[in-house]
Amino acid sequence: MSFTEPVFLLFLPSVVALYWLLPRRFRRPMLLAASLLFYAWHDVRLLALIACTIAVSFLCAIAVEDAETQKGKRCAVGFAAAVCLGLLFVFKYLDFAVGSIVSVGRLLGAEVSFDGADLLLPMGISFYVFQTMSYVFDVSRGSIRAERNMIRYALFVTFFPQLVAGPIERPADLMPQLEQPEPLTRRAVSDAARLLLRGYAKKLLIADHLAIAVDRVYADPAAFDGSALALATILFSVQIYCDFSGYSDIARGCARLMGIRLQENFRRPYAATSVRDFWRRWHISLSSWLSDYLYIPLGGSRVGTARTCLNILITFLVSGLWHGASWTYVLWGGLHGIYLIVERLLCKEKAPGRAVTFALVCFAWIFFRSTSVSDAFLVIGRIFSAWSFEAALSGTELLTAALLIAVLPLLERLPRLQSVPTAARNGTVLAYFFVFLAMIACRFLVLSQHGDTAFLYFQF
Amino acid sequence: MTLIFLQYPIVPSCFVLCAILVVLSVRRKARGLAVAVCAGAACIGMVLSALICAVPLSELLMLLLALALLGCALAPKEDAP
Repeated sequence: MSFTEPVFLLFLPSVVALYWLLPRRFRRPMLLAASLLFYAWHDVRLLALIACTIAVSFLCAIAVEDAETQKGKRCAVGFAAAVCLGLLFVFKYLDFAVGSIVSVGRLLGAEVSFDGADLLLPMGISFYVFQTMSYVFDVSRGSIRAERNMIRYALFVTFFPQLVAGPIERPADLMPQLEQPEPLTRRAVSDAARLLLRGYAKKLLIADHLAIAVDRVYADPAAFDGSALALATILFSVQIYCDFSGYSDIARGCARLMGIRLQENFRRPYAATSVRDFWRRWHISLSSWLSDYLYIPLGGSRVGTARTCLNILITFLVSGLWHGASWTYVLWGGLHGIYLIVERLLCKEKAPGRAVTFALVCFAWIFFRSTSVSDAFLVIGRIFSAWSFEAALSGTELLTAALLIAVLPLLERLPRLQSVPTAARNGTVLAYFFVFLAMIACRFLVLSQHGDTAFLYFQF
Repeated sequence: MTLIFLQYPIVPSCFVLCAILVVLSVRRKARGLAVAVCAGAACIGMVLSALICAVPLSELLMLLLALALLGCALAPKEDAP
């Protein structure tokens, strides 16, 4: 099930009502059943995979805690990592890995062919595998105790607001909240309403509308000149931010209705003054996961300069690969790694500034958005060649895109109604009302011109 | 750029009326709520008249976005973190 499907508008209020009406001891099992239903809505077969990941990580964490020797602990952690990451590899990267080997073989003159295994890509597998791994690693480090109740642990992994596209919650943050949620107060409802409206507006109003123009240009980049491709890339930078941060806002809003606070995943990333600053603001849950479980164990910045640079590059290549099984994502991650290395070596005194950071991030988005590496280089080549200023967008589309981009920062700063003095509430209520009407108009427009749109991060 | 809604005076009239009422509802301390309700009614009037006159959805969206921008700009803001 997706947050944008009409059935979710029935699902969420029903789950929230049941959650607060049921006696305390039935709440967790009910929430687990609802989360499994949410996940199975797309394809029932996906349940087998997530159940396997949950069972293996649950049992391995207990084995880690009960092991009397370091070797026993290491074996249990290794087994959990092999199974969970192995499933991720088979379902997400097998085609990519074998396809790449076959391509290299062809380049060397070998007569080989590979059509792809075409396995089903389970929704959100990268998210829940990372979440289960963080649990096993934290238990092995001794920072949390292994959970002995299967239902509690399964709920931590499958909690539906964050299951499909994060935030990647840490067990130390989420598990105690599932145990003891905050009561449903007026403030919580007001917070949740603001997060939900903001999230839906970002997704249905801004991201989906910008996707029409971006998809049109990127579907056939050879047909457009540099100005159109540059504009589409800038629009894509806004689209992906609104799409993903919109999802995170909706997830946080849903969780807030159940007395749970999910972590903030985005903090105005395009206001970053350096690429390093950008990664402190963009997909914070993934950045901190990679930092805690990959970059720091590799030695982080406590080692020599060359080794630190290598650690940064490895971390960002993994980040790129995590996003998708394609060389375009690897190049995107690698490019960010190079940015950070250059920044570390050359910009010690002064940050590059907002405009330069935004330009660098947009340049990297070209690889992220392009369907192939050759397309990405075609886009770059055309952007840096002569511009003929052919109109890729009509006047109305251009004006609407400008309005959408102008509304975004203001929308993000709209407060919840309860925090506004009564005398000043009219403006806030009207602003929310107009955004709501615009969202409905945009939904009909997008459905008529473009068809239904999924969240971009579902594919990861 | 040809804007079809300009051919139907009721649509831009409702838009301007709504924009003025939004500004008034934020600025006025007394009867601000009543003015805000009128602004909402003017906006709904604009949407209905646009739909009846078969104004394209893209233009209606543009008008609503302009009002949303005005509303968001005039509303109180949360401090940036």
